[in-house]
Amino acid sequence: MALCVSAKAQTGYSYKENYTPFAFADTSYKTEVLKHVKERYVFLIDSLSKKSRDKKKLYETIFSDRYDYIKSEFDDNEFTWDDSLSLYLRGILNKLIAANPEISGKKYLLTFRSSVPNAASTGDGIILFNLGLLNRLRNEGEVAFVLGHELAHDKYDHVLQSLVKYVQTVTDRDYKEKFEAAATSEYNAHHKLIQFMNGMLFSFNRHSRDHESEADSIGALWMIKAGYNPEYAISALQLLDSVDREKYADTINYNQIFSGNGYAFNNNWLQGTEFMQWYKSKEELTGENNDTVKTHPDCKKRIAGIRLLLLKQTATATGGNTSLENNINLRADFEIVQHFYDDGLYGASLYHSLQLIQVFPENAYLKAMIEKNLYFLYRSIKDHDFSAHTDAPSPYFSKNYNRFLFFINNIRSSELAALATNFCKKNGGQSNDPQLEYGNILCLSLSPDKTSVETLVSDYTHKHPGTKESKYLNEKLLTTKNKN
Amino acid sequence: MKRTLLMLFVLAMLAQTGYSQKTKENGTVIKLINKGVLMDGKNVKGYYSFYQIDKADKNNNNYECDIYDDNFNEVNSFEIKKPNYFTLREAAFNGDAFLFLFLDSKKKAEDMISFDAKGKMLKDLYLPAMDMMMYSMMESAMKESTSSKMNENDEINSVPGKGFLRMGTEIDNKSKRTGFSLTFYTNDLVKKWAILPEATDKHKYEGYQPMYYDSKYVMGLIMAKDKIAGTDFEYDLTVYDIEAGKKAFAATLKDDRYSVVPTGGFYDADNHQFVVCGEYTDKQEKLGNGRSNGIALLAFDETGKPKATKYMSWTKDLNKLISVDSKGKIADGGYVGVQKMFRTADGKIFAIAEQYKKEASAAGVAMAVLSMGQSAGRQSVVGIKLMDLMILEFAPDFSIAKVSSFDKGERHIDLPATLGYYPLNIISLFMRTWGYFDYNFLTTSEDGKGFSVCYDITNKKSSDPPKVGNLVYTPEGAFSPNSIEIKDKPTLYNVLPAKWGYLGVMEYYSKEKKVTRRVEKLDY
Repeated sequence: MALCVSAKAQTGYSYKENYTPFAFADTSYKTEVLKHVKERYVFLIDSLSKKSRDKKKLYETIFSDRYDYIKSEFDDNEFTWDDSLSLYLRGILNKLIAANPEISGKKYLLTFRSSVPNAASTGDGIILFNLGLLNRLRNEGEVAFVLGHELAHDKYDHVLQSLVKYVQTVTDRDYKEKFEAAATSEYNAHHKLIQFMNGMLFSFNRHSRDHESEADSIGALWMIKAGYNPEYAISALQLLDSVDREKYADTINYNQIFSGNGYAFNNNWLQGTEFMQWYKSKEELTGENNDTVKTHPDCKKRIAGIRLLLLKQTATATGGNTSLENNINLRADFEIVQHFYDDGLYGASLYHSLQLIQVFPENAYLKAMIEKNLYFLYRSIKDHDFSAHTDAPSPYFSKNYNRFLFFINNIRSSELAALATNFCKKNGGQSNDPQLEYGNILCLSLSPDKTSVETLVSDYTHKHPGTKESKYLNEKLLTTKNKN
Repeated sequence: MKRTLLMLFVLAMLAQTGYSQKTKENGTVIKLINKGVLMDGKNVKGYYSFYQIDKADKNNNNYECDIYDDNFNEVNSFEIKKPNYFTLREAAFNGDAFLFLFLDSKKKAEDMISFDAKGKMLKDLYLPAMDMMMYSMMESAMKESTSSKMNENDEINSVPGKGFLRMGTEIDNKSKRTGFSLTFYTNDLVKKWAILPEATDKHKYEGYQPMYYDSKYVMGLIMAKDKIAGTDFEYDLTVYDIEAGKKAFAATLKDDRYSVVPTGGFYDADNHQFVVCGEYTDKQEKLGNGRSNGIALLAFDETGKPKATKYMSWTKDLNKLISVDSKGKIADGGYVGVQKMFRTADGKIFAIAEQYKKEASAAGVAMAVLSMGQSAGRQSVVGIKLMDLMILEFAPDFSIAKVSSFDKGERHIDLPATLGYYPLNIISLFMRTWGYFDYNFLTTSEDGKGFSVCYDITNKKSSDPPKVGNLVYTPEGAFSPNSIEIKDKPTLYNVLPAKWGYLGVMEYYSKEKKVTRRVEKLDY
């Protein structure tokens, strides 16, 4: 797997030496999207029939909450839109729109900086494409199917239909009476309420599953019209079916990454205690395999549905087998590293950095991320908020991720400082890359010998004045270095 | 008065009273009744929370018990329909089975349910209604124990690979004698053996303070007296052999010169001996007169025969390491109260102690003045000031090697009215049992070489966020103090023992009706 990715990486955009993460400069698109969402909600409220006027307040609350959600995600830098990745996705989106005139109205595409393998339509002409899905897709055809599927949700107002159904249900007198009866039952109130809610959920989710099947069919037809081979719809669904399997299944070679210069990685850190045997499967605990709570049909059923549809199709297409431009899925991998770091999830960011550095061992960005994550994990132990910055091992995580979590959960702060310092000496060296330089200084500040730190901070500040990194070094390192 | 005194006899029965908060679940509100730690003897294996969900019928409620692993991942839960007024008192996990001890407060009866390691129910054992007096004592113990502490005197204890050991108190219906009882249950709750109060014993009231247990022995202090309100105690060090299911020995803690009141001890398997540590007084002094001569370490072989004795006086020995006067008072006034004693895998002996002193209670005095001396209020005019945490390290020959002190702020405790009249070392025993000291619990590393001590820290400014101390003794032999700030202003919080190198933290936010759980890594 690793070799395969490495070979691909030799073509197009090179990740071999460095990587520059997305910037968040242009705000005009954000302003335009928010304006569009607001206008759409005003339009929908104004369009309410006389019959639905009594539900106006509820609709207003729902739309207001949804607007606030989209705005807060923008404010928290959870969306990107003018980067190469979003522009590439928008290119495929436009190709689908151009080939299918029935897709009307302005569409907005946002890359959602989430590692969850998913895509979504908000129902307002906005398509969200998660990094965690993009990094798994293999070719343009698979991307086109996902986009076609979300465009179909948007075109046929599936989100709005679900919303109307929800409002009608919760404002219905019969619903209210049944809810009240369950909640105020003298006996078994909790159970009755859960039973009642499950009944409602089943009804909603069956509706939702019908929508998914419809979106699959329409998405597949639209991708054919745009010249994409519909087999990529099937391969995309097959991939979704196995998406729980990690992309980088190879075990991280901690010794290779951290040992050297007379320093030896302690393999005992990778050992964890056995998990408690009395645990429910993830599906049992979350109810994922329960028809009541499933919003999507099984991928196998969805694949069968598309195969049936294709049998009836005379038109065909062969395009879409081109690898993603500039290995854009790899770019998504790097952005996931950056996103976890920006969110303060240093454990997850470090894990993904270690996976990628096995593929790109000389990448300066990854070396810097490893150093920065090690440093901030160390600081979180000192500040006693380690649990806010990383996961704990869990029977619900993959074997590889748990192995990593055992490592950072077992290692002591003093040992982590030594490991970080050695990694810096081994990999950082004299670098002109500002981020690697920054990472070097952070890690060297954890060394017992701090004599050079003050000079390094001074040099860095001189070279990179006014940056947030130089500000941090001056504010935190020069005042806290003696406390470590 | 009566209830408080009875407390001395139910030292082993302190249940962990938990939150009684409501949390939101699936749109309904359920009540969290209790929570606790699942220990397999020495190590934390997980946690549990017990909820009342709703009423099942006129006489029964539906309850749910959630199980968490040692990282606070919720891994399972089970629901049971049981009578109203049902509560989960304790739970334990011995590596092969879980045991849950429930109390039916209306019927004054108990229920024990065991599950195998994969969650299959093994046995639901209903224990008949207990004696009214017995129940009052237990209820008193539950009410008096401080809810914020995870008391180390659990009644149900895991014996890995064997079953569960219950350390409790029984009343002999014939003689009406109250005494210590020890019962061993297999995983499927078959009572393998039981040691009950002996009818031939001369004293009517008996209490037991367990100091140590492992899969082979239980060691503790049997304290006995004839009158319920009397202060004339007799006490022996008593060891029970768990494998044989019988008393191994009872040894006197007096010699020709001195009496020792032990407050900590352990079994030294390498040297086949039992070691206890405590303050010693002249022999003619009654227990608890407060005139402590110093600290003593005593060793007994497996038959109870004395092997070694070491007396270290405040004036001749201990003052070299800590500044104390002839009454055991530390330089600025106060005493050293040993909380826990243990031996590390590399043979070092440690005692965790706290510096404390008696002082006037402002609240108690105010109440007495307001009532013109007629008040029989709940507060004593006597209070206790808690000061530094101290770690005493002893050499293999039992001589004191090192004393390390750690500032944890000064805290004043208002004592219950009845307790103020007791001598200081009896007050200390009560305080230790009720969790009034700042010491919370001890956690040891899996290799037995390191340990960490959890304790409360008192801020100088009451407006500052609360802090919890955790002192880690590293395998290299250094101390690393941790001061953990509870940052997010929870309505209530609890610190819990956790896997080695971590501290368990539970926080409750009343506004959001939310409970958060986490294990926080310690810095060392």
